[in-house]
Amino acid sequence: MNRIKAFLKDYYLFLMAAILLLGAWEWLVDSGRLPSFILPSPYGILLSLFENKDILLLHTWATFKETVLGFVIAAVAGVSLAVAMFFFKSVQRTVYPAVLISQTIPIIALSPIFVLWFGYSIWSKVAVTVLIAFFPIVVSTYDGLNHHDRDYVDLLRSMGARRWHIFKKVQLPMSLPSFFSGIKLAAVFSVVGATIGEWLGASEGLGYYSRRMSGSLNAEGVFSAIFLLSLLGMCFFGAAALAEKRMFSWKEIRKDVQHEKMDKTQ
Amino acid sequence: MAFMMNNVSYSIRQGGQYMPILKNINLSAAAGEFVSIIGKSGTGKSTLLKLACGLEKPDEGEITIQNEPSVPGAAGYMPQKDLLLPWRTVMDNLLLSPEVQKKKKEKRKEAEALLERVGLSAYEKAYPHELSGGMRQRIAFLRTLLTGKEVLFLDEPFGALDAMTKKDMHQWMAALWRELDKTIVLVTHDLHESVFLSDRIIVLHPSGETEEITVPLPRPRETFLTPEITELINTLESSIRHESYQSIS
Repeated sequence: MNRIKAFLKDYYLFLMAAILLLGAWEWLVDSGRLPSFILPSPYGILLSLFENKDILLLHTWATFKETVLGFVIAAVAGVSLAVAMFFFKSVQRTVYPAVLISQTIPIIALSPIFVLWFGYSIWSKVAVTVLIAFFPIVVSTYDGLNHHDRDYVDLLRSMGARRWHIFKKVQLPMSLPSFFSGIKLAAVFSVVGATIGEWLGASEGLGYYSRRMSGSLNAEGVFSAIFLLSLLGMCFFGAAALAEKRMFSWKEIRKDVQHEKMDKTQ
Repeated sequence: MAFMMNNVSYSIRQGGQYMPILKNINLSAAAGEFVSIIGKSGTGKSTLLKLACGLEKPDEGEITIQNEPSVPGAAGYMPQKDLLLPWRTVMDNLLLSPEVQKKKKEKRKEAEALLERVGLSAYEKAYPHELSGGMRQRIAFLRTLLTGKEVLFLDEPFGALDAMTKKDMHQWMAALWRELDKTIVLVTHDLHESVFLSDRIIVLHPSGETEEITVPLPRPRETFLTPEITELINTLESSIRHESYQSIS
């Protein structure tokens, strides 16, 4: 109950604004001021969602697979590269500029190449997703690893710790806040990546579905795909945020263990 | 000698130039002795401790811990900040050094006993952010003890505490040290702290010269300012000031 209360307290303004906006939107379309093939009403979108739920579920599943696969590959590769760059300056000098430059290439321009290489299989979409999610993960992990406190390193060294110990016990845990910022970004971007991939060549997925609906001037269909995509993005973000919260559970203020903050000993 | 510095010089590079920080320093501490190093800020006290622990290499001279050249891991080091790892409980923080030495299992009992001894057993599973500044500093000292080293270097460990907590900490540490039979080298700029805790005080002058003052007071010492303590503090203060007047003129 308390959780719901806290949630409402944080978000009631947003919720009110959203309800107001949806209401105004519904009214605009229903009163005939906006034709529904330009902007379908929220109710119409909901209806379309419900009517096509079986096929939409199939497409959502396809996009979900591409996103998760792309995200996981990007995370594993990104973290490995960041750690390698952190340990070996020569790797950093060689690869980091290339990683940065790779971001200046418009992904859309690259996608036809992926279609060329991977065809219309799931891998062309996964490749776009990896490319989009990779960058924030590498940068945030690498930055996080570099932003540790020198004093902690000295403390560990004074205990006779080797580089691996220092990495494991200080630098890695201290990189986590930055790492999670990157992960949250990448989680959202992954959905975008998968959608772009589907636009450029696919036989299933929400991106493909929205394009097909747009081709047949079915605005409700396009909007229901957009709705599901944004829902997917929110779910991924939520999962990443939850993982982060779990990781930092030590920060929470514990009510059951009330420690006396005063110096009472001796 | 538990700790010895022989003709140690150290300089840092700054903008292509070498800035001498320490010149021809000679210091020593006997086994079981409590030695304080005091001096104005900028005399390189903290650097001296880093050299002593082997964290930095001197340009010249020789540093030994128990007659062996000092390398990282040869002595315990307690830095200015408590530097407790915020994601580790008190117990896991205490076991940090044993983990590095791969002696975690053997040392757990010792850590529990130490917590018990200082009355902090209830906080074994607490996180650092749940503790007060004084408690964190106590845990940091226990962590230094659990390195298991004979020689401990403390770098202004009470600098950030308020006056009353600081006094409590002085008594706490004096009592603990007397039971433990460890050699402690403490860097501080608190004159009263150095007089209350030490057997011997070394004044480090900006010129690199050192002066030694023995503290003949019996232990346990008075926490109030007795005439003897006041006199020692005055002697120390004029020693520090005298030198700095000289260096100005």
